[in-house]
Amino acid sequence: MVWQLAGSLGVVDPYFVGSPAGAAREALRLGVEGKIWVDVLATMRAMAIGLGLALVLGVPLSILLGRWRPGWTVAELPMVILNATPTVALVPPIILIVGIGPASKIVLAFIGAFIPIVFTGRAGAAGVPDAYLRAARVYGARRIDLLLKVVVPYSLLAVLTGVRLGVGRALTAVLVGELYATQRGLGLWLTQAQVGMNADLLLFVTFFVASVGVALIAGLSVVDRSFAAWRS
Amino acid sequence: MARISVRHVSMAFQAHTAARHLVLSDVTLQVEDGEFLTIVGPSGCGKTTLLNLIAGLLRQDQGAIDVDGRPVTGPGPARAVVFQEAALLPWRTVLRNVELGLEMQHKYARPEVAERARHFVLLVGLGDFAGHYPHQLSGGMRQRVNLARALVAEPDVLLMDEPFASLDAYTREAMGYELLRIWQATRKTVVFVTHSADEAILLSDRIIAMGTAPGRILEELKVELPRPRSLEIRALPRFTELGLEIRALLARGMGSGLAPDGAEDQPKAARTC
Amino acid sequence: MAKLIRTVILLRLTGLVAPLALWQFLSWIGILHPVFAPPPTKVLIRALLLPGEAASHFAITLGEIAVALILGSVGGVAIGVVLAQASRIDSVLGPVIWFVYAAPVVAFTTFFVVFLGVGPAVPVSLGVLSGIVFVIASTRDGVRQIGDELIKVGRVFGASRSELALRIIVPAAIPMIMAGMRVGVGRMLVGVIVGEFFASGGGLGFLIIKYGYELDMERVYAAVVWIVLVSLALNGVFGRVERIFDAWRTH
Repeated sequence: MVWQLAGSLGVVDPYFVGSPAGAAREALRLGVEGKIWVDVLATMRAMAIGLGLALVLGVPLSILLGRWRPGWTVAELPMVILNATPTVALVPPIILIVGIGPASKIVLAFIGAFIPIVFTGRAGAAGVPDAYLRAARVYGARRIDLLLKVVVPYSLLAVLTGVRLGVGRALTAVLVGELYATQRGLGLWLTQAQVGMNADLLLFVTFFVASVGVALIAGLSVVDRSFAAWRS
Repeated sequence: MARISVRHVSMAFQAHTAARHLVLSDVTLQVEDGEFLTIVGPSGCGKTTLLNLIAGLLRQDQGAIDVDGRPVTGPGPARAVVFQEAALLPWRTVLRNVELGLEMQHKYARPEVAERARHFVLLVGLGDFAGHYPHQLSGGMRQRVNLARALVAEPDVLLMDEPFASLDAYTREAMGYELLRIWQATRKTVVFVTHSADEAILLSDRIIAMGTAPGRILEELKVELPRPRSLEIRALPRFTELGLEIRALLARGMGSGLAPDGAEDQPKAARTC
Repeated sequence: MAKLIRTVILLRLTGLVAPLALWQFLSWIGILHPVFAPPPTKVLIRALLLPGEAASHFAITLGEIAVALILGSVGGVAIGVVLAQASRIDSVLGPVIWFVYAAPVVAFTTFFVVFLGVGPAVPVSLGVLSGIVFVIASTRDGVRQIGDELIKVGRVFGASRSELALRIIVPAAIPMIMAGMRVGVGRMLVGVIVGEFFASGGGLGFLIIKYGYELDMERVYAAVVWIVLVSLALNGVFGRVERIFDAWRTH
């Protein structure tokens, strides 16, 4: 709003800064022409596969580490170090090793999501209230029953939080990867907007990409909240 | 033959200061079939420990515990426990939580398990809430689910550990009458643990009073009040007599001059006694 | 008891050393590509030499981090305090703050590059943007949860608005503010690195790109190692500070 006003009043030269109205025009053009959706899909596909792999590998691992103390004693230090590693720092090495293309993006998304998922999932699995386990044992649960009927459902609630944390890291890593190696994807648009010297486009693309991330987090927050009642 | 037989059971806990004190000292008691037995005593007298031993959740240091002639070696649905905290799985509905009591015994197929669970959900008066989740229920309702789950498991004996302790006084009393109603319908052998003398008298056929340091049985009292029990029995002189007797016993068993009335001053769920 | 402690220490060391040892072994017998996966020993040597070789870059990155921290914390606390006390502004800015929190800050990279040009301004801006939201949110919540009693005490003893803010409100909110800073520091570092990747001309992030182009993987990994060390140090320091101020918690 303030921006639009500033542009119209000539306080700021709209050619250089771009304006929300201009951005909206660009949005319409791109949306109708459909060119941007290909790239949205490219990014999202890498994210989905990477996230999926992170869940498939991460959930069992987090439950194992959560219920088997010696395993966590061994794994804790390396995991803490991995967690402290900004995933983006790994983008260039990974793209160099795996090569340009969707494979490296999937790897990046995987790494970004895997670590938070394992951290929170493990804490969840380790923190299953004794009361639930005791109750299940009274009614005849064997170890496998305890695992499947109590530990796993309880941990999944924790994993959800991990996914919410991991999605941001994964998306950032993937976008950086796309910027770094100008691959097909939303990152490509960020670069093109810069090169094209089209301020409106830049404005639009910036907020569009940002919104994609926001939408993901928002969606997960909604899911998270609907399960929150169970947590208490 | 008694359904539950506890003979010369002793148990010590090692406190952090490495000073050992006996939680239970030479406890012997029998529970007959279909009897409602209450163990009453202040915190620290070992009553919850005793219940956990009968349930098989703990192992005694000395002595023998048999249920139906067989020694207790571990927890199992034959000795279903109604815990003080309902411990309902929050991701399951009321019905599914009750089913948990039966589904791991692999005695019946899934549809039949659901049928039986539904029967007990109705019995405890939660027919309208079968599809609700635990977080949507009040404390009293959760304990009813807890009870239904215990009953559906077809236990030989029902063990209840201060199940109403976290409820307010009026809900607690109402739940007591509810429990009796349900018990009349199923006639299970029940061992009930409480620190409230009044609750014990209201509910049981027989009361065992325990003392602390060491945890031991002080005395057994028969409750010859007519059944079915209702609000009016509180007016009977025998009710008051028993109340005084129990309080006096417990006071002596604690080594203090004051009679502890469990209902007001004992902190809830703080001690595993 | 002592045996248990020894076992635990042994296990922990194994966890740290075993993957590296495995990597070293695989490198040695030639399974791993010598260029793309250099043995840990070589990386370690490079990492030790790096500060000497590229001291200016270290200075640039650390400088950017320092500036981002100062701007982020001061600005964040200031904005947070304002938001806590002016609920109308809060309802307007609240969604904006949440938007910045949820957005991948890398999206703003090109925007900043266009307006700020190549140079340390971009990493600093990205770093500030990434981290400030946490400080704002935790400050706002921290100020809000201050009990009325503390404020009343201040006013009874004649504190002016700014004295109230400085002497009572901020100190009472510090435990939560510190918690927010600890959480924000990680994201801030990410912002700085991303900025250095694309727009800086200096710094550890820039080095990763540079060495990457030269396919000097040993130095790439060495730079990554240093970034991890910086990250651990920041988390450690802020974690420690947070714990110190825990004693000030009013609740």
